[in-house]
Amino acid sequence: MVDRKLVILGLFIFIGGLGNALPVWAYNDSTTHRAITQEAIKLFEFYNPNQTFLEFEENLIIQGSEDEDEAPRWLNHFYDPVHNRGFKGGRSSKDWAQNPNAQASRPGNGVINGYFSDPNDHSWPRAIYEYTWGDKERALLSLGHVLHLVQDATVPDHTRDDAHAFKKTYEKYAERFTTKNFRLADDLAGRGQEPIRLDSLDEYFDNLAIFSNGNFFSDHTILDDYYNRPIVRNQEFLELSDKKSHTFGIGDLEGVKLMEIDKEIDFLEGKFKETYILDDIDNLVASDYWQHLSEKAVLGSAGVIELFFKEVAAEKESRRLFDLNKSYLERFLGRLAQGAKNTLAILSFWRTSPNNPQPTLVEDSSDGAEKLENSEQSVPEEKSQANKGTEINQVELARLMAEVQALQRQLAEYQTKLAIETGTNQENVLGEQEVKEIKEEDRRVHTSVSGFLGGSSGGSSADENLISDEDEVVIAAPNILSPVDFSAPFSTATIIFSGTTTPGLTVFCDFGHNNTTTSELDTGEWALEIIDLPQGTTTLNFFARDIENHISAPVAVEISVDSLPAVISFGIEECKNSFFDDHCVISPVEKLNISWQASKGEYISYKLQEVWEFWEEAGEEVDIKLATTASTSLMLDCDYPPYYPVGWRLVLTAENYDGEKIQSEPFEIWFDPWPLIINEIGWTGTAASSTDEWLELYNPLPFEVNLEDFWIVGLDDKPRIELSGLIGGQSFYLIERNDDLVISDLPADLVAGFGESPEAEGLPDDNLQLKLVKKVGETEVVFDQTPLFIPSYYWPKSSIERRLWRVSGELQSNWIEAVTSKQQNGLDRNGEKIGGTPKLENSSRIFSLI
Amino acid sequence: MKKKIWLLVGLVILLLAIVWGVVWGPQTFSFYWYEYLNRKHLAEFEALEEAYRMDTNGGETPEETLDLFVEALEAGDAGLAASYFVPEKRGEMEKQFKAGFESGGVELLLGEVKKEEEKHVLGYDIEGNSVRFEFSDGDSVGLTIDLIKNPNSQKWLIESL
Repeated sequence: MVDRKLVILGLFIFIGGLGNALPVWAYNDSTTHRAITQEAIKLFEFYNPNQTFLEFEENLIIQGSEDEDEAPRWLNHFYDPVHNRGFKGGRSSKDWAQNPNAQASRPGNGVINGYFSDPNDHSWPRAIYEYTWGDKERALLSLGHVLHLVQDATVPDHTRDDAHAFKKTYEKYAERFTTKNFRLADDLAGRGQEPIRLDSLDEYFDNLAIFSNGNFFSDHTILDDYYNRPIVRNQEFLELSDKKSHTFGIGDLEGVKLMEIDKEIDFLEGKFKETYILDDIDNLVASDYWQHLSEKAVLGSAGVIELFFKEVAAEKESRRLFDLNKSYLERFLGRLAQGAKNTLAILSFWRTSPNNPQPTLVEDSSDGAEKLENSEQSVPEEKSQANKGTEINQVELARLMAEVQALQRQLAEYQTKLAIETGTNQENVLGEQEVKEIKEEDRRVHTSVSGFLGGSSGGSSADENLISDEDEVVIAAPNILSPVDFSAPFSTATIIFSGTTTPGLTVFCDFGHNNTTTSELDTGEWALEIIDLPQGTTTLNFFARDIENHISAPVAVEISVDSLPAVISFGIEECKNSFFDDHCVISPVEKLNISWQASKGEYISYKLQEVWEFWEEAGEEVDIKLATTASTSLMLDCDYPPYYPVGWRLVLTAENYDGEKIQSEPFEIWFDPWPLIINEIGWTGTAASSTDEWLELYNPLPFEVNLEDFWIVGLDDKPRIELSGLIGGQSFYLIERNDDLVISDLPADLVAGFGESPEAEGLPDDNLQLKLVKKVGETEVVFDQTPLFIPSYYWPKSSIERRLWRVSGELQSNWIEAVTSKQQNGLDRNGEKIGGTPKLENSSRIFSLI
Repeated sequence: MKKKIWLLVGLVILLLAIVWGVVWGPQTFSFYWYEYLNRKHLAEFEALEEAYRMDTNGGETPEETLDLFVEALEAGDAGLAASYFVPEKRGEMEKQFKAGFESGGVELLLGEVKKEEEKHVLGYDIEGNSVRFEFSDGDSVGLTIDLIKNPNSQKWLIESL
């Protein structure tokens, strides 16, 4: 008995240790499985319009289809239909999907507790049982788990026992399909393709696995003797994007390219030989596979959902699973009790009158089925259209409200513009004080004199060029003799003005400093150097002044300065949608709409170069000529590894007729769909206190970002945290609740209450979903958001950490409980280690193949 | 009398054990058997993971790895040449190269990979973690070499040849 306990204990430790493991095969749980499940639900609803799902129910199924890949469950996701076995002889997915004992945490399932009581069990019977008699939400989650397994039966690697860490062409290809870009249900429905309808889950596994095993290869089982199929019937020669001819093997399915026939060296023979691959450079093989297999996956999954509801209906009639759920102990004790009661009844009969009627044998009431007969949960919900209608109405209402708000905003802007253009007087625009100052200035300065070059020239009368003070002293305005021509722009910001005036007077200009000179006593000549003139047009006023400070009327000169070298300025249309104001950071795009303009001169050719690029792990110096054109705009293909953040530093060189070149300043543009992310959540606090909650953000870009106007908001605004300060480039930003001792050895970047009443409110203990938003005017732009964490399914002991930056934070599978055995950082207020990695790389990013 | 009672108790326990074994034995055996298999398979992956974790072979760039690989073959060092492959293939590739030195296969390979003007980089995969070199053979594809980046060391290793 002791040994058995030790074995079980060891098993627990072992299984717990597997918690670190990550899946290596299958459709990507965070993208492809979700997408296929979503389309399967749509197709099911199309053919079963009276049995549609609410949105949260759909999400549960999709979530289940993700969660099935959690370690160590994925070891049971293989089914080789030819040899009827799982991964390397292990348990097949066909068995795993339908066997609650296999999914149970320990052997002896159903001995003491109910057969359907193990928390790890997400089997098919459990899903049916829960939907009929128990927790409907859990049932849908389990249905999602089963759909995952059904979908894996369409992956050749899973049905041909092929598991390798890196080479998995088909699954890599399929990763690109997500709920946002994979649409198949509408197409299938349009073609009249109905779900695959079979009588049992066994048949689904066999049907799909035989199809994928017999018609497709996996990377390491091409023309393998272990499997006789598929058979290559003929060859096709195609020129691919490398402009070379490639040879493909064609199989039984019409037009499907089974593999590329390549060549390799036979080192034993010292000559070339044929080799076969699936990963041709243009993904022709993988896309052919996907076209057929994804369709099977959706049709099969939709059929399984139909079967699920049929089995639920059958269960309501038969109560087979309900009876099965009773533990052996319960049944044993029930029968003992029944036996005892019957014995007592018989004894009682013999003790009483022989004329008494026959005793009634006591029914085994341990079933207790009747008490659930009328339970609300006992009837699978066929959702009314009314419910759906209400939802649609709410959505429609929200849309209309948004439209009304937008119209109101437009109206307000229009009214403002109108007021400015038509009715606003200067007081309104400038303010009272400013208007007073202007009026005072108007009164004080005589502005009637504006004759060019002053004096008697230019057609202005001498009287007009004179100004009188109280003593009637008239000072003649100075003459300007040089420069002579003011019509062309000056190419320097320093100009020497010279001219004549009454000998001995001081000439000064109202621009800049050191702008005073005294004229020659004998000739009245003067010269004044005006420096630092601004670019563009400036009006200078020159005055003459006598020793008693009497001042002449001004001589106004309008000059234009263009002293800067020619420059080229960039404009990138897409940067108008930049995430940040001070850097151009945009979501990845296929093309950039670039235009430029030279400040002056005529240029006949432009060369656009990429002088530097950057992505996460490796900065790389490059100098790539992107385009040469005579035009001043182009659409540039964005061809870069999607290894975000990707940065481009663009430089444009322009050449004129004389062969002279000018170069633009580098212009940086960054591509990143998630330029600022929620990275880790200390939801459950620390060992010192469950209220010592903390959050961590991460900035994957290499420059700092100002967090002004950024907020973290939860459901119903709980929490609502205003961020401040800066987050450094490729750095973390730690938010601690209420004081900086939450993580005592690491300084918080922000200490904040997590609710209106900081002491009482923290992160919600029930459903948690966080968004990182930026306030732009009245709207909030969502930068990043987490999925909905539901504690009944997910109550972590450590922090919850994000697995990948380049994958949406909305995906449940992109979050995992921190694995403290891999990485830990920080101490709590009692000096104990934090169950997480604040201000350090997340544990899930520590290298792990499994 | 006392002895008989103990005998009876023993018989009951034995009977219960037999019943247990008949009813639950297959399920318990099955449970542990598959757990054993899972453990075995995971151990293999853990060993491979450890091999990657400890490995520092390879160049900083795919081109550097290819150059190092060619240098090793030119020096006649099959072990060193194989060390630029992914860990799980090194043993097999060393044997192949040793045979290739005798058969002329290595010479054939070097002749192909040195066709610098025919070498094309076909681009990185979606995460920038693998790359393919293609050596042309006229208008059709010749030899191709796939390299991957060791996620731990960030060094590039040959995945297939």
